[in-house]
Amino acid sequence: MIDPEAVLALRKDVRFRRVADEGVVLVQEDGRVLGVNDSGARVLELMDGRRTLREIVDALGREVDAEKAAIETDVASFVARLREAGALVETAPGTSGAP
Amino acid sequence: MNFGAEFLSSREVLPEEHVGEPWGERELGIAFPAGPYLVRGLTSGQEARIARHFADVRAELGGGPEAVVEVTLRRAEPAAFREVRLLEYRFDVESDEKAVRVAGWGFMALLEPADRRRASIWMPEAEPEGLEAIVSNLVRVMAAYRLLARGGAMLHCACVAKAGRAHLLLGHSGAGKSTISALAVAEGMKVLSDDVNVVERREDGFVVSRMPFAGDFGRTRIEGPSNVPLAAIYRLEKGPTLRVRPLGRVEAAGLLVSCAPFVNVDPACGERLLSRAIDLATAVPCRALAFPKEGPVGPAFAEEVRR
Amino acid sequence: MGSALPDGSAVRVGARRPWPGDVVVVRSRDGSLVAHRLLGAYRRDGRLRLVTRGDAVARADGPVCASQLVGVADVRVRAGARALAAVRFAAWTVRAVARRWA
Repeated sequence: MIDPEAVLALRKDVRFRRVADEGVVLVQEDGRVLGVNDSGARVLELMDGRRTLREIVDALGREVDAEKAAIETDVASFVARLREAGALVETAPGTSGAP
Repeated sequence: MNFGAEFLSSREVLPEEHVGEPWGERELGIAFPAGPYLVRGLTSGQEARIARHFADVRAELGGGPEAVVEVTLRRAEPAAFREVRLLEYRFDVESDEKAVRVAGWGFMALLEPADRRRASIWMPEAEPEGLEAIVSNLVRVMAAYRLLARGGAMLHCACVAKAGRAHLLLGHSGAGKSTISALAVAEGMKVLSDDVNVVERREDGFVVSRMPFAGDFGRTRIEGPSNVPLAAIYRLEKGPTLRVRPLGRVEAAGLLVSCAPFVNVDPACGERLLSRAIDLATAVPCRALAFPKEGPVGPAFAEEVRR
Repeated sequence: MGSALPDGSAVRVGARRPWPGDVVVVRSRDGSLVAHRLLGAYRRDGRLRLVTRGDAVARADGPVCASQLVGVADVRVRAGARALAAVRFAAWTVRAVARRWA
């Protein structure tokens, strides 16, 4: 479970670029390359090392014109997949966020 | 595995600066990709061997202001190296913000990080059996970094050319790079290299040349076209018949990253390598090519490549 | 299918190529017809599989083979629904496309 108040950021050695309506993530540590779709790329763009998961869901909800509740689980699932892939850093709420 | 643990008596023996007495005063120029390279500090024996090995890529460097890459051969204490015998020349590469370091059988090297314009190679013997392999390997590592810095890339891939257009065929070991290259020759196409190729950026797109001394069906002479405009990128797959389907840009970009040796293990290169891979995957059509291992692929292959 | 298509509705089905966000009609393994939103598709073992989900349902359906697709429902799809489908599909799309090989 991802804590909605946790600040999310990509790990230091992870690189992300958008490619039209998709995104590419390079996990340098073991040289894996991951692909994500348009929404995944948008979440990654919103993941600036200062926003919490809740703030990312809020921002995405405004852009996609959908209710926060409708997308909260899905954004959390996506973020969980990134965490499984070793691409993520979560900072506990209340601590200084910037990596 | 710790960097150099197999080859060096300790990490500390590798200098942090380009210090140490050169072996000699002779020098020669090599026209390798992203060069030219001035190999200096040579004895006449070293010069003769290196000149013979690189005969096809010699460059006359006039000592003028051209931006050459300097590679200096220096003496090292034998005690810096461990006793080891290998079946093939291999080496460790490590990098940080300051330098790229290389350690291998009978040599260690330091590459200057500022645009990789300088390198030193330290050896305990003037003319080891693998002198040519050491210099070749080192220049290849430098070429990988320099090509990336200049808007191109060095790639593990085959490349075939037809009607003045180059087609990159990417796949890892066993994917069939040599096989498809041989099949291409049978269909009247030219092969640049079946193992390592060099992509460089030009004003109006990318061009491809072969990397000297890579794969090559055992050829020793440089032949065939160079600076061929890039037309398409293929991922090689096995299949019962020849079949081509579109390949997503993300898949193509990932494959390109995985086929860029040396720089793809250096975190400092990650950003640029990813950009480069995306540029390439966006510049030309990307496809997956399945083909039967035994061939023949027939005229269908030449036809497909012409598209 | 939520408010867009109450259970038991009649819907016209066309044979055009489905896009994420479309409502598609799928024949389930038990023979019944289900109209759910298409989130996306992926390739496994050379075969195309579709991922669908009812708008009001929390989880996606199990992946469906392209052969189970009956057609695309003739209902208006709001732009928001397409974008929402992409968000819902995002976790599915995280996939390894390459592994480093020097």
